[in-house]
Amino acid sequence: MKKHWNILSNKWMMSLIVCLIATIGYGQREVSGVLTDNSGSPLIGATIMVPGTATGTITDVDGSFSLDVPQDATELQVSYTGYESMMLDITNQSRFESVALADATELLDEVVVIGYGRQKKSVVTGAIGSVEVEELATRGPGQIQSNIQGKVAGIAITPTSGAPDAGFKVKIRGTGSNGPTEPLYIVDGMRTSDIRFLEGTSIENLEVLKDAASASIYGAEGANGVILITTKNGSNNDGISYNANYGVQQYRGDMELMSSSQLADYFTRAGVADSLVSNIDQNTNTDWIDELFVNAPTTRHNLSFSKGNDKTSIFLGAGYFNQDGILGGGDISNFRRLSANFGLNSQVSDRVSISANFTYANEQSRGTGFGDVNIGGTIASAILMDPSVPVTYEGALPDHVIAVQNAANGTQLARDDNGNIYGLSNDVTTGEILNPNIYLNLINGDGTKSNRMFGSVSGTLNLIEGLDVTTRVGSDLTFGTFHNWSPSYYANPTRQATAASSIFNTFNNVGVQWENFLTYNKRVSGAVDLDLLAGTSIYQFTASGLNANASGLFSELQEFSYIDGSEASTEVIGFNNRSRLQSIFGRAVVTISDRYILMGSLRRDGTSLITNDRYRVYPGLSAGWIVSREGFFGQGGVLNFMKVRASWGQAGSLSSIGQGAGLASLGFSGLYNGVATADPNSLPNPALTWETSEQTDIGVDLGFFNDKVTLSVDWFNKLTRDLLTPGAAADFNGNSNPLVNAGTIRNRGLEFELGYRNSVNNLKYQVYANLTTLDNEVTELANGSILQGSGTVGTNWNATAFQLGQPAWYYRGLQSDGLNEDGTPIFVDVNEDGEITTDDYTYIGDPHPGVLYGATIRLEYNAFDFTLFGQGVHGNEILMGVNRIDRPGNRSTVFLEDDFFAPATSGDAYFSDFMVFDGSFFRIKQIQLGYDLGSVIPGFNNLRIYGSLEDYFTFSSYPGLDPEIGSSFDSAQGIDRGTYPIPGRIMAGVSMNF
Amino acid sequence: MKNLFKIFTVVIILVISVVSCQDYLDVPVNGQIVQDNFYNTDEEANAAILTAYDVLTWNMVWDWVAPVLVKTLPTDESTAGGANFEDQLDYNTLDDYVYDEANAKVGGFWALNYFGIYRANTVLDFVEGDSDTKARIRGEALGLRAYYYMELVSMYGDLPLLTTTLITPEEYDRPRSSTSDVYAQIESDLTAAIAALPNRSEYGASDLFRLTKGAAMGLLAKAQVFQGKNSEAAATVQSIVDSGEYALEEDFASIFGLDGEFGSGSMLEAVFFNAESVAWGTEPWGAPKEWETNMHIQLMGPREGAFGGESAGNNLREGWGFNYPSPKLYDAYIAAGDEERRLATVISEQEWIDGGGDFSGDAHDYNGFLRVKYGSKLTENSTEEGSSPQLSYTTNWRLLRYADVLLIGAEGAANAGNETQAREFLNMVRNRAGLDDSTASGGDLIDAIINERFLELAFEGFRFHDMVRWGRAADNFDGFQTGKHELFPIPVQELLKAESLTQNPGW
Repeated sequence: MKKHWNILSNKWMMSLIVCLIATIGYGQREVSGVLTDNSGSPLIGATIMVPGTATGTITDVDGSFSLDVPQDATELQVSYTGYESMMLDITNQSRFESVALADATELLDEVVVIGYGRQKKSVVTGAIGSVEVEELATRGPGQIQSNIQGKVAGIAITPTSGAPDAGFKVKIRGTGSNGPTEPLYIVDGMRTSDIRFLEGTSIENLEVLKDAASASIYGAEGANGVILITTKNGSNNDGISYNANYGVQQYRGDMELMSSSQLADYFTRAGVADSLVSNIDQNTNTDWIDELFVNAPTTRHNLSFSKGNDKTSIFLGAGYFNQDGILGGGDISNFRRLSANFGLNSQVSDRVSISANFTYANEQSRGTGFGDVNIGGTIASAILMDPSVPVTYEGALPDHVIAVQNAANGTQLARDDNGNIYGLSNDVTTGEILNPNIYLNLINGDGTKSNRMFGSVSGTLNLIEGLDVTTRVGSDLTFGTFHNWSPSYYANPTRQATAASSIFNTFNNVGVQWENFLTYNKRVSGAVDLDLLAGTSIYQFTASGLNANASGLFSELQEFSYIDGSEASTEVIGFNNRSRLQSIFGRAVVTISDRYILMGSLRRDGTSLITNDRYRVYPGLSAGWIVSREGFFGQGGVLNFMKVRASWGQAGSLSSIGQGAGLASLGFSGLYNGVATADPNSLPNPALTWETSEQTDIGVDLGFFNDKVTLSVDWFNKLTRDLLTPGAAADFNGNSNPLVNAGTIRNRGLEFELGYRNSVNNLKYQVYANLTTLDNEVTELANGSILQGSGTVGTNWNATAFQLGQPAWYYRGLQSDGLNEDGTPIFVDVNEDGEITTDDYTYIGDPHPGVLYGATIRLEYNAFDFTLFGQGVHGNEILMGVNRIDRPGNRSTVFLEDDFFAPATSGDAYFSDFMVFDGSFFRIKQIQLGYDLGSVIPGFNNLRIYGSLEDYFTFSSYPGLDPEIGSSFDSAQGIDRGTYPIPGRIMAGVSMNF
Repeated sequence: MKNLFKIFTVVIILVISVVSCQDYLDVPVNGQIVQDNFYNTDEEANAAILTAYDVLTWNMVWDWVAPVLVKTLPTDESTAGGANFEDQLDYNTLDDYVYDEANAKVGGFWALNYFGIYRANTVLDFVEGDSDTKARIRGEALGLRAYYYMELVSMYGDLPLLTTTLITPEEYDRPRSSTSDVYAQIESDLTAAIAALPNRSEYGASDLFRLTKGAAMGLLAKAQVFQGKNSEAAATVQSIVDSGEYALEEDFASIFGLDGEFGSGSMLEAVFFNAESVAWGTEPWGAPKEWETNMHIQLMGPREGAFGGESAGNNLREGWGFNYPSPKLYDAYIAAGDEERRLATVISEQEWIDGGGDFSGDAHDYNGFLRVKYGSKLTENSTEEGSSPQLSYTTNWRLLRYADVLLIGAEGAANAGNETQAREFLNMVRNRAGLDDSTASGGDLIDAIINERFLELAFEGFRFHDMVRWGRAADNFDGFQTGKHELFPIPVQELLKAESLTQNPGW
């Protein structure tokens, strides 16, 4: 009721006060004026007092006040929640046309980028996370996602591996699909799916739209959240800045492998055949992990120039980034980026402004190949490889190698650059498990090379006051090649190539976007602010290229690996796929009395990827109430700011829908009587449509002690419907099932973001912490349907499943119930049929963390600064999938011997929860100490030197290489099939402005 | 100011023109051939009908499911065999009458025939009969649809009856139509096919795999007998005989060899061939529709290890040990004095050894006899161009033979009381085997026809339905329960997916 009274009675109150003052006053004069905020908007309900008296008033809806003051009064105190109080000198002035109050805190001053516009953070009604971009420049990793990790509540970011060229799995508010869950990236208004080209130092602003009401303005592609990035356009601060850092990366894990004698002992205890045990040469001990990983450098240079005035500003930047991989060094895995970027903002005339942002990046990367595969990855080989084998043979070859040489039938055994033959196991480890150097030897050639041109140009025309029309054209071009060749080699009958082979692919990705929108921004009828948007967008993406492979190179040299016709045989396949989006959108934000905010948006999207019903409308609604701006809200209390907000919306995802999905297509691979047949591939599903996520968010933002402490809490509930799953038509319908829209995932949780900043004398300190709880469950799927993931472990265990009532892609296998006295495992007979078979597979683990958290502490003391940043996950499990189920020799992780040994002869243990481990970890991502010499050395505004340790300390009970397990397979998250570990880094750097 | 508004107007017009452009989203899907732009030329129509035939050979698509073996194992012709009971467990349970509604062979047999129906329906949905070739292809599709439905209705009874592929997901669930409705559809399809199809003699040699007017009539005769339309069946068979299109091969043993493919008495075959040299390591396990050779011939050879190597005198080599003949079958030939057909169908262990084969003395589910018909013959596979002999059998399944049709005619005539005509058809088959004319009458005539089908058609997949039709299954098939095993169960996964389906009695 109090609120109600306040809204309606400001004017009435003011009149009453004025009346009261007038009746009791004498010898008075009138002082009047208008109070505004920085932007000129009137402040309503601000307090004006004569200090030391009870004489005062408040401003009306136009921000104006009028007060009779005693003749002898010399000043008036003006105050308003959230703004700096100030004194007005009234000795010689009694009319103040426009007095602007400064915002009291940074919190309220900040402007947040939202879809197609900006908004003051104080009036944001959605859940939007911001990242402090200053930090991006001093970190080791070259890709932006890695630096967002742990910085924003609600976002789980996992590198697909620790390889320099690896991508990321970015999950905003949980796993919202059985397919890809990547967010949409919008860089300077232009959409893209890949932001690897960006240098951290060129970024002005990075926001994450987490709730559906904020993301729904991006309609068909907003279901998994949106990351908005603004690059720099220069500013009024002229200057040149230079940043450089250098780091050494190293393997920081502590996984222990068995020594030769431990392996022999383990085999003996486990009952492995004596003949195998006797093949172990206990005099040789190779630690394959030590052999595989090397220290590798990372280097970064950034030079930028910024200049501007009131009308025009520009930014020019150039960057070099190079990261070698710890697996085999830079010759094997590497990522290098040369980039240049340009930003321009100009007010061309009173009514016309333009802006442009362009980035060119030349990227080169080489992967390790044979990475995250079910059997025979390079790292899995290092873990499982027979320790009794030397890296190479020097001098006479052992008998078993001579036997292999004879079996090779003329093909050379794999050897190093000096011609020394790589060590081969004497049948202890077999098949795909090899000396890992043999796998590394297969990686030759240029890797991926690409040229990326990304940018947008926009022009804005002011039509009438508050009404602007903007047109914006963006393009995203990537032209590149992939090249790799492998020599002929022989290791064993499984791993061999009698001829050298080569792959040479070209790819061209062209995205073009054109958007036009009207914005209207005006305070109307006193206390109502309108912020309206209406626009259109079209987008076209074309991926084309040629993939060529050849075998039988003319000579086993790089010169003959470019498929130039000198090879024995070649095969070429081309592709040219195009998709389009067509959209109209609109949004209205209404702010009443600076404290009641209502937002509604609609976007209608059409896509060429869908056959029927190509258009869909996505709504978003949100509301906020800044409680602390109410008159009844006591001032000067501990709690100085309070906003409650709620949002609801829908957004779509197209990422699971492939080109031509749902069409009645024909296959021609079959023959009858020697003639090609036209076989209908599956039942058609022209009704196939996109996934839709619907999310509700309720949040509160609080400021304490004049915003020294800030706290935001959000509750969210996100349902992703119409998941693309195989249909369930009975066989009598006569064909394979198509993809259908059937299935729902629910993600819900709480997010907390806590900030504290203060200073004591010269010590400034700041703490930022975030914590997210996540609960993931498949809430709708055809009864009894169990989808199998691509997380195959070993030869035939589909270790992940997607099923009603379970977390998405949970681990499914045998459940154990301890060990027998002889060390053999006991399994639970789930279906009670008296046998342990695949029918007893059940839930054995959850890849999703229940809690994500991160915390940063920053201290500044005079010229010193110190940062400590850590990040962790809790409650998830890791499935160790490196062990070869079917080959008793290929097991050399030391914990096998310590914890249980009989599984060496009982393959079932490897299909079970014996291989599931607690995946919780806490990692200190950064410890950095900096010192600013700027005050000491003349000519510099700032000259900071720093040193840091990154990803250096990890707390985890996982016995594998690294608990931060990534995979590029959406349905195999959390499975460690020999994941490239995240390297630790020792960094030193300098940044300067002059 | 005026300029600004001009610019603004231009922008607005541009924006509106782009946004309202209806066909902006019509983007071609490059490289993807879809039904809507196919089926126009004769060649495209032919590629479509070939798919409907191809399903006849999809014996590896539902793991290992060859309809002929699925229908043979529950009979008294053979036992399952293999390495042990668990080897191809679902073939073994069929043999022993311990199968249930989850049996993968029962499910695969069902799916295979329905996939064939879908492909025939595709032709009927999309191919217009606007050329002679396309009109004939529509006739082939009608005949194939009838063939697949007859396979299904004889094993499962009432069926979901689909005559088009143009259905929405809401129509994925549908109830079973009665057996008589299914037969009505079969008869109607075959009648239309007979009108549309050419005679066998009108086809060139490379088109002999196609359905002919005569084959459609043969199938119609079967459908008529199965429904008790005996005199109609006899009349249909008589007109096939009168057409002069078919003649029984002189030498019974020649029928099942490679040279006997599309012989004078062959009316429909499922065609296997060795498209490219198939060898271990390149075989298409991952793309089973691309198996073009007949893997079941290898599966059904005498068990390797137990029966060593080959028996050159019998033109047989080892295989994986399925489908061993029963002593009852061997004895039936002896009792009939029918050596010509026996030697082309079943030999004794001693004959195997005499021909050069070894035997270790023990093999699972083996009863002393080895199969020659559809045997793993030395002359029917290849080692050329690196082919593996185990993977390269190209023996065709004989799906409809003139002898089968004649005996159907005999059955129809006998049941209709026309014993002269019945004996005439019967004796054509007996004489070719070198046996005397039968003079049997009444119940003896029926018995003679039934025994003749046993001897002539062993291992060809007809006996199960014959014995059920004659009410003699329970007396002859060990484990057969009257009131249950006359029909296969509807596969359990089908019941889960389509709620309108009902299960057969007893299951």
